[in-house]
Amino acid sequence: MAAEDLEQMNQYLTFKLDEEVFALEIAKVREVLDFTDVTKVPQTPNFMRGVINLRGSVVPVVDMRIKFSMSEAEATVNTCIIIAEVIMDGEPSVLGALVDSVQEVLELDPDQIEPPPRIGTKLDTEFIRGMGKHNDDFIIILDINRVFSADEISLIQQNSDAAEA
Amino acid sequence: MQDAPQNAFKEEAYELLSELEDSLLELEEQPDDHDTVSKVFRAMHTIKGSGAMFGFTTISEFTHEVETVFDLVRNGELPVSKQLVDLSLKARDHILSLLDCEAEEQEQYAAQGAELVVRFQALAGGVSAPAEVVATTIVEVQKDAHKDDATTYRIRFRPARDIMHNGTSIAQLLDELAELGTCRTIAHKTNIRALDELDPEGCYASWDIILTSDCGEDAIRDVFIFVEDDCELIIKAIDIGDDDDGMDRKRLGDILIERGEISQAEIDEVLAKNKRIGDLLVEAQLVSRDQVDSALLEQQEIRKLKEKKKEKSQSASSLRVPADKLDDLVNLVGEMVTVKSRLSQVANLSHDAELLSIAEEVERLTEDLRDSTLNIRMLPIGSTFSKFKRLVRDISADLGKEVELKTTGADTELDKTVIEQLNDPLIHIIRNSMDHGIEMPDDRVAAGKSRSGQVHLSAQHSGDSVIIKITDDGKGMDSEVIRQKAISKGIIGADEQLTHNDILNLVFAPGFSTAQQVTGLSGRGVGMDVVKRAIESLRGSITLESEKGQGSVVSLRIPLTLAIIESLLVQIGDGRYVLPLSTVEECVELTAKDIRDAHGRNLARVRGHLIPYVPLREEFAIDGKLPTVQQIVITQINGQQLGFVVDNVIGEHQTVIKSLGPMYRDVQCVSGATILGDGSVALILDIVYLMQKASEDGRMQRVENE
Amino acid sequence: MFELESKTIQNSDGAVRQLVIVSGDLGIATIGKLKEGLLAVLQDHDHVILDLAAVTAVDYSVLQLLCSANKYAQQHGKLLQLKNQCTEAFIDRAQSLGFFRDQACNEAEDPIRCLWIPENLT
Repeated sequence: MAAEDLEQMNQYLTFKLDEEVFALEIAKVREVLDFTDVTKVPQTPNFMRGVINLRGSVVPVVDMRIKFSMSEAEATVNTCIIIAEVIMDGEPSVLGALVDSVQEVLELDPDQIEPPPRIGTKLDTEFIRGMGKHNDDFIIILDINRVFSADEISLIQQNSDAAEA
Repeated sequence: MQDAPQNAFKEEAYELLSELEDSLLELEEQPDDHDTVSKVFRAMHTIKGSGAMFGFTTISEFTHEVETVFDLVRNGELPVSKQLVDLSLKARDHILSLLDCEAEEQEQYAAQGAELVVRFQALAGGVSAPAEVVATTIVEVQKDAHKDDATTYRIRFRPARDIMHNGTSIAQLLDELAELGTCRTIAHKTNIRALDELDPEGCYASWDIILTSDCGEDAIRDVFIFVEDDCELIIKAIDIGDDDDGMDRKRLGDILIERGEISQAEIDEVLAKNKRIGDLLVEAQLVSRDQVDSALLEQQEIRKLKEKKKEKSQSASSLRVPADKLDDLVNLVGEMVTVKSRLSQVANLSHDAELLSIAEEVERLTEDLRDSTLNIRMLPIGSTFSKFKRLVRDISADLGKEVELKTTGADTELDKTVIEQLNDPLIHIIRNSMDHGIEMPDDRVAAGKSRSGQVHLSAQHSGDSVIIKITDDGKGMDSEVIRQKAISKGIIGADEQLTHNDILNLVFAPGFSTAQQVTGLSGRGVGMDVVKRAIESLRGSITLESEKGQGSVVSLRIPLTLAIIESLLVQIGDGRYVLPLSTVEECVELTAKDIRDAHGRNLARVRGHLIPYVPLREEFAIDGKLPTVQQIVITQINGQQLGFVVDNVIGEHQTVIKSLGPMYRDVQCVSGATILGDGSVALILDIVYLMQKASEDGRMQRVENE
Repeated sequence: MFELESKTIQNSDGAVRQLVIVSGDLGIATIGKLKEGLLAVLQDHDHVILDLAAVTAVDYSVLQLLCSANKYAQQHGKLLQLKNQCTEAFIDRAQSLGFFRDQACNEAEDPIRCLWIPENLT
């Protein structure tokens, strides 16, 4: 069990947004769903795509492209929702991340991960846990709790509310 | 980590302590009530006993001291004084703190405990001074004949003829016996001779005594100790029979047979005549009237005892279940309701008669299951009410005011979660009433009122809601003062025209406080706006009425349960939404012509009345083609009407409320979500918020100007 | 201690009754005298009314005596009526000694003649 945990710690699920490859710790990922209809909640910012029914629970879905300020895109056959566990408001919570496509499960040793760069990415470095190197490609490893911290989300919401007004 | 029996003790103790608090407060009002004294004593006794059993030695030892004092009170040796009640309440709080803390932390309460013990001992010590005893009203010691371990005895007492010769008084003997419990006595007078043959100093009668007592057989024998040789004495505990035998009591004939006064054959013979058996037996001169009467008495006594026992077994058949197990059950039932909708939908599409009938059956069962499950979670609101007695007592002492709390409808049931969440808002409202409403005693007298103010807390059912009212007979609210304050705080404009009610409702505006000075009670930074938000988060509503000088009434309307509601399902674009059915009044059509006729104002004419409406498509920025005929769902809350324009009304729906989670915590127009039969998600509209927003947007005012 | 006074009264219709007024504390100490007195009156008269209004205490022997006198009266075709027995002393004692009952016993000729049915108390 413990060995498995350790192993899991070094495993990452990679996914694509635009042409960039991102990764999430596999331990945080519950499952990957095909794209389904998402119910939009009125008066919420665009990146909050809405909610879906996950076996009887209502789970929010975040559009990662919009969240990371990329252009919006139509859903394709490859579009997926990664269901992940995050800590929100100090409590474990489940949410879905809408991504262009899911790639593979990778194993990265800690020495294959470098600290986040200060420049050279469009992304707020606060969301990045590190940069993984795999087959000469760089993979952006996300700090999922930071990305979905409720403070972060409500802050954005306030801003968008202000913009609307 | 403590193990299960200890937790069980804690739970029991919490309950006992809360009962104890009620009893003590009751005792303060009625110091002579012996039953309440006994209740207090029993609570202390149980805490002491179980505490010792489960290793809560500190609690047990401390409680012992309190129990000792109440033993004196119970025996009428110590009066119930305010001092005693105060001290006992403190002791109760002390026990509570001991219960709440870990064993290692108990040290910190040691000094407090020791001090209380000293004061209790002082109180108890005072008793030995006889003057004190005389000064007290001696509480009449009533025998609680039906104590838990009470037994009913049949005592047959047949004195020797010469029993009175040595000065024995039969009356005295029987009186002594009667002191042991409740006692029904019947004298068999058949053997009394006619006057010419009578030895007036001889004793011819014999007695049957049906005694219900917890004293035991030995105590009964002790009564007859000096006449033992001069009488025939038979004491027999009456077997009251099994509870489950289906027969509600022993039959008279059986009792007589059991006593050996008649045989079954004789009874059967008489029974054939089909009259009341007792009368028949007496007529047939098989038994005497006294014997029948005595048997009848026994029968009655057994009946009473059985009823008592039944009551007891009924109360004993309740189960203690951890709340989270119940929550799980409610969740499962929620899922079930969702699956049921799906099944019904599939069945309707399939046109398969058999499937349809199964679906109907499942629907019926699910509804029953839902109702019973939600019912399990229902608790009487009284548990909350009784807490407030203490609160009112403490606050009135702090404020130097005299306030009486009256409660009605304590047995009104509400969902457990709702009751818990009501606690804080209610505390705040009551504090407010006492702080701002009730005047100082002298001011009250000057105003021609009674010295002590009244706060009345009432609860009653009203459809699928419970209405809770907090009424005080204080000085009421001065609408002019509120108006000025609201103007100075910039909540309203100086020249704004408002009705009396509108002005009162300004106190719910954020940042409003009517207190002239910030007191320790109300000045906690919590205003009525917070109370309002808390009530609205329970999908409830709050209103305020007040007449200057007459007092105020705060009314809360709270839905019975938070888990599942009846609602109306509507469609806008591709999305579906539900509105709580309790707010929906009716649905009317809105045609393109209606919209043209309204000249750009969002007002619908319904039977001569103009009702403002909110086009939800616009409000929620939903694109798409409008249907030619839209629907307005007219809702009503607190007398305010507002319509919501939707594409289509789908129908009634049983909505299992799901939270949208922390990510949507700032979304106000939607209070939750639900899963529909086809698996898609519908959003629950927050009508209260939408109505408030419409009013802020000035939609509601337009009507008044029409 | 106790006194027994016996006098004849006559109604307007000519019916003759013997009124016996007993007063004071009745009990075992005087029960013999009470018996003698009562028996004598019952032997001489057919309709005896026993007024208990002035009785301040009774004990078992008194109740037994009354019951016995009633039996005697019925056996000898006479009528014994109690009057004003609704005193605290009498009721309490009859209650605690279990003398009261709901229906007359089978020795009574007529339920109205039973001394121990609460409805018959005067």
